Amino acid sequence: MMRAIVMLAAAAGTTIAAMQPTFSTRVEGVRVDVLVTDGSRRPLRGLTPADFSIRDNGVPQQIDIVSFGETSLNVGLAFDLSESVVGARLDQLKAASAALTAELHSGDQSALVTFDTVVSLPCPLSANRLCVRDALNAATPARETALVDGVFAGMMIGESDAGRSLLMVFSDGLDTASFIDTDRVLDMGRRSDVVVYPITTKGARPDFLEELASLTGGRLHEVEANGDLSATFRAILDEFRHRYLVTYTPKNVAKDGWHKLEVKVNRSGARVKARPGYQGG
Amino acid sequence: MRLVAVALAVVLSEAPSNQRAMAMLRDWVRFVDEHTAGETDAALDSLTAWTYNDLELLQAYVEALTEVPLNTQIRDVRRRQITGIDLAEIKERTKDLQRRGDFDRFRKRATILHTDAAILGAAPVVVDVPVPQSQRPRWAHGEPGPRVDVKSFDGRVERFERANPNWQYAMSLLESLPAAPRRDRFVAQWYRAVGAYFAKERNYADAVEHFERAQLVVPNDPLVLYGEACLQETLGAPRIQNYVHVTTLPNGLVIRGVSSPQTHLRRAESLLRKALTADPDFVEANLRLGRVLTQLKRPEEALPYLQAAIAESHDRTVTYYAHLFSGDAALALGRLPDSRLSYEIAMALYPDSQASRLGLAAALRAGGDRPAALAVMERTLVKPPASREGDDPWWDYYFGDAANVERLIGELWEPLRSRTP
Repeated sequence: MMRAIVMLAAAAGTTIAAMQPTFSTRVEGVRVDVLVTDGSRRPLRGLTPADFSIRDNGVPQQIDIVSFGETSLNVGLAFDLSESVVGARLDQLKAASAALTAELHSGDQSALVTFDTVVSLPCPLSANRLCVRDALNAATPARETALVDGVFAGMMIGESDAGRSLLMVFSDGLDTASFIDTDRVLDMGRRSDVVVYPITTKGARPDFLEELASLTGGRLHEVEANGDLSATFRAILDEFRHRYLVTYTPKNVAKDGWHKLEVKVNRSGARVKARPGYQGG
Repeated sequence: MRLVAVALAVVLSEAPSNQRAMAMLRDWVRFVDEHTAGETDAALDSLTAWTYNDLELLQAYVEALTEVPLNTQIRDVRRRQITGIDLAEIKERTKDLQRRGDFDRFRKRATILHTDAAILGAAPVVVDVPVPQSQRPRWAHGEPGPRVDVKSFDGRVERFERANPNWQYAMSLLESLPAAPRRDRFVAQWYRAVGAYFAKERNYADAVEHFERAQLVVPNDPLVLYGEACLQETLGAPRIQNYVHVTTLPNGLVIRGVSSPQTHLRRAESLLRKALTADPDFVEANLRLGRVLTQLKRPEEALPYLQAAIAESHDRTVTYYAHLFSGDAALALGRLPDSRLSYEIAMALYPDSQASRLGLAAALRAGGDRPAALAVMERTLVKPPASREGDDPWWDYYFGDAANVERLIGELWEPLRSRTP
């Protein structure tokens, strides 16, 4: 979660630095991805730092930067390609991914992690739009579901670049083969800037994905077995693109431990969705 | 109720012979004599041609013939199933078998016949979705029907199967073997081998009953305790817990035998401790106890067991697991250098193992080295999935003793292949 936004070397000059022990000081900023919508769930545009207020563990914070739609996106896809995703569901996934990548802007990047028992990275994070399509066309669903391992890998990919990262996880929500513990990935979610949007089929009741979405400020989408995945994928991308990136430098709060975040927008009827906090230290 | 039952028993004891059951019993003795252990021969084919209902009809007769000790409740039920005339004839046949010599060998070969029928015979009978008693019309209430198992893959219900009665036969026949002065070693050997077979087949329904019964007859055998511990560990694992959590069976049916993860892990802990008391040098029991304790959020307690497994193991896979789980325990304790080292040793043993690489990535990330974490993970993840299928023993961990199943079953068969030693 805590990324180095400003890095200051506390050295007055090379001579002094050479003579005395050198210390560096690191001021870490916190980024919070915030979705602000009106009563009809349409994104509210044109907000400035003055419209936002943030409390970190109850302590009001000075907002440094608010950006909206200006930063290019890293869109990670973590797809369940286990045996349960065979047939029509795979076709829907291919079509939805094509629809999604067509909506990416210049400068956006995408990555694809697939998982059955085996977690695979056919498309590392890049601007190559064709990789996802080609990888899914070559995919053969098989074996069981290492959902937690796949999400872990997807989040690692999302964290590998300083840009804003969205991770869309598609699965029927039932882990049967992972090595990584769900608690570890949830803890990762508390410390990561990656926003997770899981998409699952109705009835799967994936507690882990729901909790991860909540921790990272994302939202779980449930689709019918033969529902329109393309529309869901596009809606998620659109929603993510229309989120504000609010940055502040924490003051008067301890560095370590859980930081409860309260994000408010001073507009009547505004609905705010952001991560509930972050793990410091 | 009791009066009705006694009256019924009296009526049956004076009833005429059940010719069909007695003919089947004679055939059954012939099948036991003619079957070659481990082979699909004519005797086995004839036995497996019988329906499950046939086998249920015959069970009381076989138990009487082989003198299976029964508790009072079952004995009462069985007496109602066999007429007095038939019981007298069965007693004579038992004497014949005893006179023939080595009655225990006959009982063991009978056990093997039914084991082979379950393993080598036709797949269990697929049935319609059962209707629970509570949903049946009043006139259909009565004794619970045969057990029905749900067969699933990757979290999806595939079909319902009637429990294979051959396992019940085999377990009953084992109980006919003498228990004193000490239980025949074949009994523990059978429970271990068949437990491994259930693990390989992921047949948890039969495995639960199998080990419940094992507790009664071989309660202190370390290898059987270990087999049950493996089962309990699996029942507590996300793969089973998630499935039970999300699965809604039709007709209000419920999955039996699965409790909370903590319950199963604590049972596994207790069984592994018993196994280690019986055999302190049991490497795999040390390994699994270490893993179970980590799962129970007691990593500090886990590490000595994992270290013991590392020190004593001569098996690459066991050593890999021990280092892998030591990495987990150390990571849970925040001992990042120890954790990294353990995962690195595991990775050296199986260089493309996904679990060791994900574990090492988690440890590196926890230490703040995200680029290194990504690099260690990517090196394997970029390879096509189909080329990596056998790369990680972790994928077989929950199959417990399954890796040894062929050897274990082979050892059961070998001394009993023919009627005579």
